[in-house]
Amino acid sequence: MRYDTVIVGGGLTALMCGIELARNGRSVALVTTGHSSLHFSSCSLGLYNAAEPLKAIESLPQSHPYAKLGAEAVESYAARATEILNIAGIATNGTTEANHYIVTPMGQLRQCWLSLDGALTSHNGKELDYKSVALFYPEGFLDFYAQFICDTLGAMGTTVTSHTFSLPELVVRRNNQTEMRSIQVARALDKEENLRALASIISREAGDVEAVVLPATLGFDHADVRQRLSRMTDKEILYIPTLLTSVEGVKAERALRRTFESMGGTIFMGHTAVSHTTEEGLIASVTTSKGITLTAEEFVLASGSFIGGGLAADREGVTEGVFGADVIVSEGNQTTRDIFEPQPFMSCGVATDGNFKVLIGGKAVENLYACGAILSGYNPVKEGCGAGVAVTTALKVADDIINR
Amino acid sequence: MNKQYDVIIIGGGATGAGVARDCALRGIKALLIERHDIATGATGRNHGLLHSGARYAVNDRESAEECIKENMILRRIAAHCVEDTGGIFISLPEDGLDFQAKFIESCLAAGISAEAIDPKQAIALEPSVNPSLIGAVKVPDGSVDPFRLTAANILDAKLHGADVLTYTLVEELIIESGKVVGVKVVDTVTKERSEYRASITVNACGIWGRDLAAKAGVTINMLPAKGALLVFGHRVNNVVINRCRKPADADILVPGDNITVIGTTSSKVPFDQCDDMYVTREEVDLLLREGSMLAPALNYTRILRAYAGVRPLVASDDDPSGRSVSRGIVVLDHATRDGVEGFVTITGGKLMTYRLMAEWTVDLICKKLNIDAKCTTAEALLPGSTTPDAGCKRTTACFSGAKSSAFYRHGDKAQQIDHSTAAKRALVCECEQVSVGEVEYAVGKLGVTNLVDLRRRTRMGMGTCQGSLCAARAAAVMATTSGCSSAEAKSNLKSFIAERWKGMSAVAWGDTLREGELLSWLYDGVCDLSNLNTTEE
Amino acid sequence: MKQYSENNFEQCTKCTVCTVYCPVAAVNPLYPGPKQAGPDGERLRMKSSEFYDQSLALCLNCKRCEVACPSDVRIGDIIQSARIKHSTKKPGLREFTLANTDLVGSVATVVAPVVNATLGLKPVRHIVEGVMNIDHRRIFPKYAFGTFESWMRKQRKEQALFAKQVAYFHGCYVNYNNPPLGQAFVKVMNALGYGVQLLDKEKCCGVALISNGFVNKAKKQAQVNINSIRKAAVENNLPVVATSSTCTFTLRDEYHHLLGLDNADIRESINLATKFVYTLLCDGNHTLKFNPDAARIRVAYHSPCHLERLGWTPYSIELLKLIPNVELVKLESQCCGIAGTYGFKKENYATSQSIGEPLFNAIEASECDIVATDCETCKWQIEMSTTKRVLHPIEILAASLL
Repeated sequence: MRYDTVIVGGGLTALMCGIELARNGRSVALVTTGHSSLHFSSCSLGLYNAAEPLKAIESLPQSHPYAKLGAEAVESYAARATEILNIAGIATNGTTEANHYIVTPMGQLRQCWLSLDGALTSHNGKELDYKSVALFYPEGFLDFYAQFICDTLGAMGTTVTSHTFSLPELVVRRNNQTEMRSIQVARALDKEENLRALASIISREAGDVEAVVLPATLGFDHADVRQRLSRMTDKEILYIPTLLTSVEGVKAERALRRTFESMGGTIFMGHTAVSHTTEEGLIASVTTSKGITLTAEEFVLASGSFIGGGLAADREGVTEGVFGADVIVSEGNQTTRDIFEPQPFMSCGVATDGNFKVLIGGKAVENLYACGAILSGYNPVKEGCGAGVAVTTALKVADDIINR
Repeated sequence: MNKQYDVIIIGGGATGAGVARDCALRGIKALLIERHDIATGATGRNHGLLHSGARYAVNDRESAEECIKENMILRRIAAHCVEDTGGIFISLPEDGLDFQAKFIESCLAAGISAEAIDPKQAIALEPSVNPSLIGAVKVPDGSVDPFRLTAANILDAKLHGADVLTYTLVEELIIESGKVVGVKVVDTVTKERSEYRASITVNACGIWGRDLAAKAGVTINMLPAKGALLVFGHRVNNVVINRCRKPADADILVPGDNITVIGTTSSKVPFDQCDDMYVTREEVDLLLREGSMLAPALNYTRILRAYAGVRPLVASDDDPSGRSVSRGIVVLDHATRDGVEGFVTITGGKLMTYRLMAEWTVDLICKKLNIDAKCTTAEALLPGSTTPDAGCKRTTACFSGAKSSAFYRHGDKAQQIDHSTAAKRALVCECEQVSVGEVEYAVGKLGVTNLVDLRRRTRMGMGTCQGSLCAARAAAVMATTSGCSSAEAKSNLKSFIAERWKGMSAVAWGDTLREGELLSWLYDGVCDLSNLNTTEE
Repeated sequence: MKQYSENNFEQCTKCTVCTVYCPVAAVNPLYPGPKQAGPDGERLRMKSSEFYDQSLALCLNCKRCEVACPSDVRIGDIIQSARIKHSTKKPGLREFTLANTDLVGSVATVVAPVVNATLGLKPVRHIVEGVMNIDHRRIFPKYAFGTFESWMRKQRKEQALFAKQVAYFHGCYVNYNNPPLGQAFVKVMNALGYGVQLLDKEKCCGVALISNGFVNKAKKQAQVNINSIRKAAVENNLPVVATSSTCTFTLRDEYHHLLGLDNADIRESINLATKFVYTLLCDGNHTLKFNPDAARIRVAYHSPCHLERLGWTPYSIELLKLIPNVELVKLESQCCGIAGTYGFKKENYATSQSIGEPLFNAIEASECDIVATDCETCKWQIEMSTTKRVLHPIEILAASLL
């Protein structure tokens, strides 16, 4: 099958790049093994962990993706990414000027650039933006740590009251030893009768608080569950992310995919890109694990790091499997024994030129680009820049392809 | 508050726990003191092989005989800790069959049943075995869970009046007129200091026993021999596979619970490394190379982690490998050996003979204290193994997985786990099927104080994901159950994640690296545990 | 590179993505979900079969977990294999009737008017429920009067005139229930310059036998099909094409993964009609003449689970896009709930209909004239549960030709 551009990957990076290309009239196919790391999303996007992120970017080493973009481009691509998220119906808060803070599943504050609208945040990283909140969470839901959150927020000076709730549907659900998961709670809250029941519990118990906070399980199929609950209770409703699975992350992926497909994009789901062909130094096609060969003008590697399947590590080293791209690994061990210290493998990735054209055998391939987590030269966890690098490099690559 | 005991036992490994239990069963008032959790030293860092003794038959008849006797005893008294997998000793083409004849003869002489079977039979018995084998011998090997075994001994010791202090470090031995009369300890969590006194103090500290002895002015010449092992992601084999040759590196493959373990290497290490063992790249290579000779499937099986223990061998010669040193039991009465009264060291030996080691030690204690009491530990069944298994499995209303898993781990004690409500039946750890009820049981009844302890009692976090899914859940449930502060619980969670990663980092490639990346994203990224706010405390 | 082996379940990182996309777990709280039933459970079952849980029978084998999995774990295969290996439940009369589609079909087609009329009657459906535990609300597909094979035998000479030939795996549904789909396929192939022939011997692909616990019989039938396909593909060098996405998937993947049969030499020769036709149309040597007067129709395309697993959904969509009188709406990919014979069983009826509900709503909201899909059981389910008629893309294509 033939497309203008084939993108290997299906997560935030691939979708951001794909949407930008599709809305500029190009036919685009995404090739993805399965669903993406948005399923583990923290409900926030980080640009860079620093008091003034854009300033800090200016002094990064040349190997860093941000250094290749330059602070000005980072700022403008970040703005465009926000716009695309909006087009997809994903409302966010935050600016590139200064980070704000999202409340983590542990109740702590973590720096971010954008937080998904509705997430409980703090503007200064010291205290919450609310002085009193009531926490409501489903009884028997193990992926929400109410005590941690109450104690930690309490220590920041917010009065927190804690309430569990139960709904007939969740009582039945709980009999399943494993499937009382965030996604199923969210599905229950999709239903009007359940939401009404929850609303009456909240109205009865919340008292006079500035906001009501729930685990991020506010609907799956319906986008307006939070707003509806807010209207029913006449309270501001906010959420705190849960660990696996991140419902808001899943919803974001779904929204981006719908947007991409509505613009004419095609997703080859359940396909792993396995090999490629070249013609006169250019990539000519990619073949998938389902035996389909896709030809295109340009190819984009947005297949993520190890967890996403873009990179593979074996006993001998790290490789990129589809194109055999050059891979940059740091000297020595790829791991340190303390997981909370920077892990060298996190900074592994494919080598690219200044415009994110992929190097194979030391030479940049003119129609093969890389963006997002497969890039080398940065530590997404420690620098808090995973999402930022993903969206800015994705849009830069899209721009270059459009202008090609 | 100071307390007086007949005996103080220092060291909460299998041996110490065994001594405490034996004392308690003989009516001797005992206190066991352990600086970490139970089974944290060599006890918890080996194959978990229920030796038939066959491995020692050719070179060390005495050990072989001890093993087979204890093997049969453990099957009876610790049925819930033991799995009767059976074992085979395989000969590969490069080994030849010469050793096999001698091996069978020696086994039989030591009282170990050993039956030669042909390669086809061996493959039928254990399909994962290297198909190029030229011969095999069937022996009564099995697997034993050292954590469970130690926990059961502790539980029984307590039931019979012993006291147990974990996370308590012995800072000093109290010596009065040349006699050890007690210990000065510090609680490593609360930092509270206290003293305990006893007529006899037992050094059951394994390799760390050298340092304890030094506190009494006694020199024990020990040889720390490191043994590294790899844990594979699932049960590759259901029968223990050994190499039929002179004992060497990485020639035992043991299935235990839901995993398989290959080991071990043997190398001399300096004493200062004993507290922080890690597995080197060379050791991993060696284990994989030799392991895949036993079962080729290991080449493409996910390695969950690597770990290493230190054998507490008493040096009898200058052999640097530590392997030709007899694993014989060493009981030292320091009164006769060094002129220090009230101080006994039990060392050497092996997990298999922990009960016998305890018996000999307590026999000596009885002699010294003029107590006339016979050892009953070879007959008295351990808690968890006191009733036949059939009834227990049906008592808990769970999916078959969790029900069977709880029974598998706790034997008839699984009945004490509250599975009466959906809340209690919910699974915290999905890989290893640990329910909320089981976590609460472990916290309430098995002396669990942190997540690493919980892992030892329940296997929580020991499965495929190494805690990425369950650790935070477990931390939250534990905090609620034990009433500890959130700050404590979170720092506990952080330590647990760090501990899991240590074992993974030595084998971090393939899916294990992917898992590690997920672990890091979740706990360092999403949860931000790097930046724990200490002001909460 | 990754080693594919029996250890495939170990690629699972426990990320829980599959649990989001399992249609059964979403509506039936009794089902342990794909993660627990699949890779988690498999690890335990390796220790002892006492860890097998009968609730695995609730899995409808849609394989959406596999499509969703970022680690390429064959979750659905693991669950189905566990059922084959450990289930102690013996299939009964109902399973026998539902599974033996060709045996039942060959009887029914002879007396089709009677069978159709009878199965359409409410009292009869209640008796069927009482005796067979097949839900009385379930509408049976109608049987055709005379099989597709008998029709094809009459076309043999005419079809042999074409220089290029394909072998057609029609499946039970085309043979017994819907010969017009087979005829549409012949029309399209002829228009592209291909004659159509049958395989030497075709048996039911066996998908229903596998899911109803008749593994040995499934293996026997599969071997017959493999032999016939081998003869056509290897000896006669013919492409083998099927219209049914489930038959195609079963022949290509389940034969090897679940039945353990070796089909490696013929797997790549087995093609799906939409993919085959679209590929021909793209090669520059084939064109179709469309009827300029054909009425404009709004078509909503539903991608069947097994087509998603094949990964070939884009072909059916692209093919429909080529038809000038078709205005295409792509429905969000989700399970319709029928899953072959699963939804026929009384105990699964409620689950089946709840799974399909979002799809049914989306179909009604799409304001389409016709729903298109490549799977016959999806067709039954959608026709029973919505106001729309369902056609195969090949039928829509055939109708639009001059």
